[in-house]
Amino acid sequence: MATLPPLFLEATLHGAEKHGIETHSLAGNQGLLLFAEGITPSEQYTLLKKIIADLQPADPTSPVPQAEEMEKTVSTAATQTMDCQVSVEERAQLFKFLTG
Amino acid sequence: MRPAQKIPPILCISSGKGGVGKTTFCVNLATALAEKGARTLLIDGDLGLGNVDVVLGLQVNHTLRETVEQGRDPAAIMVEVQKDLFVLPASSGVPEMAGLNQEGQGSLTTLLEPLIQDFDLVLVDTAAGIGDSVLWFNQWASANIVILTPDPTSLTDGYALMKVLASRHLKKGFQLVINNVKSKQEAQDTFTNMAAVLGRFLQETPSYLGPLPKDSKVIQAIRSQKPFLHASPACPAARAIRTMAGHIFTQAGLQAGPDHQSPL
Repeated sequence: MATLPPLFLEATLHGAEKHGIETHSLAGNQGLLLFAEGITPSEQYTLLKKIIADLQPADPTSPVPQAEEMEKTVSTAATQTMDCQVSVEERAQLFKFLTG
Repeated sequence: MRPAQKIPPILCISSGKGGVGKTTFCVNLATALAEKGARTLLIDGDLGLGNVDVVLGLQVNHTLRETVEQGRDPAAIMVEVQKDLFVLPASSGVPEMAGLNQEGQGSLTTLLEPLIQDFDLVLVDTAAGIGDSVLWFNQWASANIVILTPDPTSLTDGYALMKVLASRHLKKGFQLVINNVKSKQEAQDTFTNMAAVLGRFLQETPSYLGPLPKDSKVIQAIRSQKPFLHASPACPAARAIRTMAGHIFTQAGLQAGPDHQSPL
């Protein structure tokens, strides 16, 4: 999720609204998070494919990403979970000040 | 003092590690905010092992479990503790609530949103750990407060929590409270180091909400099931909490009425 570009996020949010997905319920303007958490990955993928299909730019010079590129990003985001394991280096830095 | 508004600021208080004083902090911060005239709702987000009612010495007959399982209006289970301070208690000893699935969490926050619009500020005291409910409440919140102590386990768990929230849920702007410190310098050192690690590895710049000193009056108040703000209003911890409440009050753009003066 964190790797999604802002343009993609914005376009997806608009698309989600168009398809009846609520995006306003979470405080802090985290609409896509609600979308991603509320449905299963397979449903997410299917729905995003529909959204992407609607986002084909009429103007080829438009900054809106091409469908194939967006689909690849969506597929990656929907199937990968970011590993947040705290590393040895992070731990060492966290404790550094305790030992002077 | 409050005009009609939509969703108020929601402050989620978490720690990663348990036993660092999260619930005590929440109860006393909520008390201090109410004293300042902010209509405050404290939600016990430790849904399966709630303790807010215990710390406040409340006898509760209804909990958020009824809202989740029966769809009961949360207004019907809300307890008024004092002027401008209300609590939504959680159940205790209910694993199903502790492990609430995403559908249940979504239903709960949806049911809470009409209620919270009647408040100036909402505080959520989450469970320890990085379980689904902790992450969910932190996503729901507009501000994320993390309580740490200068212990390696607390630092590791607090950092891990922030890493998950920042990496997977795009949360930023963590506000740190350093609890159980012997001096302001110890708290400052702890904050500075954590800020450096967050900056280096997560490109995150936290803010410092303040220190909470180690204070025997806090333990006494917990055992008497009263906020230390009431039991020992002049103790160092109470003064520190009031300072933090003042910052939050200002951040939220609230203004104290003429009848809301500090008791000190």
